[in-house]
Amino acid sequence: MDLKTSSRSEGSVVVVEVQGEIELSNAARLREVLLSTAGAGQCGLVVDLSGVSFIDSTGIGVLVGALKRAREHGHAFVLAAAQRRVRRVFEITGLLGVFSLCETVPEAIAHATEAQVPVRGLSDNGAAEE
Amino acid sequence: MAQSNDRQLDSQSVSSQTPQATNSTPPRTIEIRIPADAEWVRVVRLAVAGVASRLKFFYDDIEDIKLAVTEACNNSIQHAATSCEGDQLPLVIVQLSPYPDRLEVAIIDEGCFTGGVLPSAAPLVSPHEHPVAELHESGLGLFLMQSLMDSVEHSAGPDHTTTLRMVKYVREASELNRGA
Repeated sequence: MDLKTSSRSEGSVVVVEVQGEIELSNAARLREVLLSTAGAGQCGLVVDLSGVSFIDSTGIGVLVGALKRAREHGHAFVLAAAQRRVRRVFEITGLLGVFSLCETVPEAIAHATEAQVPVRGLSDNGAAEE
Repeated sequence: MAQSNDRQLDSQSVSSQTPQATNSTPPRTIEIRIPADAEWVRVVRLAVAGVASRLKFFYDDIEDIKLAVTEACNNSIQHAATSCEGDQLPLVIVQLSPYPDRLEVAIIDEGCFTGGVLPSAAPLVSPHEHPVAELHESGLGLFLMQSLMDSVEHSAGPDHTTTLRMVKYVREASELNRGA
């Protein structure tokens, strides 16, 4: 399945919807989309992962790069609605405590909207960790 | 045959006979050869899922194997891209050996290894031990392989080939219930 991305604005937040398998063959294209958005003038970026059925370390690396870019610009960067298998990759790599990961896209948009400073890691129940 | 809902039910078509091996005798090995091109890795994933589903792996374990093999293929492809010369892409060879109690996987990239420290010599360090600003965007592949499989070994062979061997054992339901 080819990787598809689409973007939309929700107030001051940009939501990037990703569909397909994120892997080495398409990671560069996703990196281009996310880095350009993460460094743009909006205050927050939400990545909707509900349509992502597979992610490898290359894809995780792309998300790490986008997170770093967003933080450099003082923007929120929130992942949303990851499928169980995708979430497991974050768990294994210990990155659940690094990324903000919300169960639903509306939750993620609300979180990114409220964040005035780069958001910190979220625990499994979505509560912010200090 | 009745199976638990947790078992992998999807039966991918694989051109191989049902393995007759015991836990110790060599099985029939399925071999897949792809050009060192990332576009072909998803084909390997499909084949791996098909072979693994013929053993009594749980669904999550098959997904773990698919990810580990993907990482191994990625390493070989990236290695080939930086180390090999010439117009023709080298081959990446994936060998799948299904024993009743385990799946052994060998990923061989041909003719490109020129020396240096093999990846398996790198320490297993979880990325969450670093601040975000210091996180690298690459280098998680070996960490994932070591986390997902029961054993991972890397070796340099003759003619500058490198072989990465991984093993995943079939878990019993009792192990799963214990969280093993």
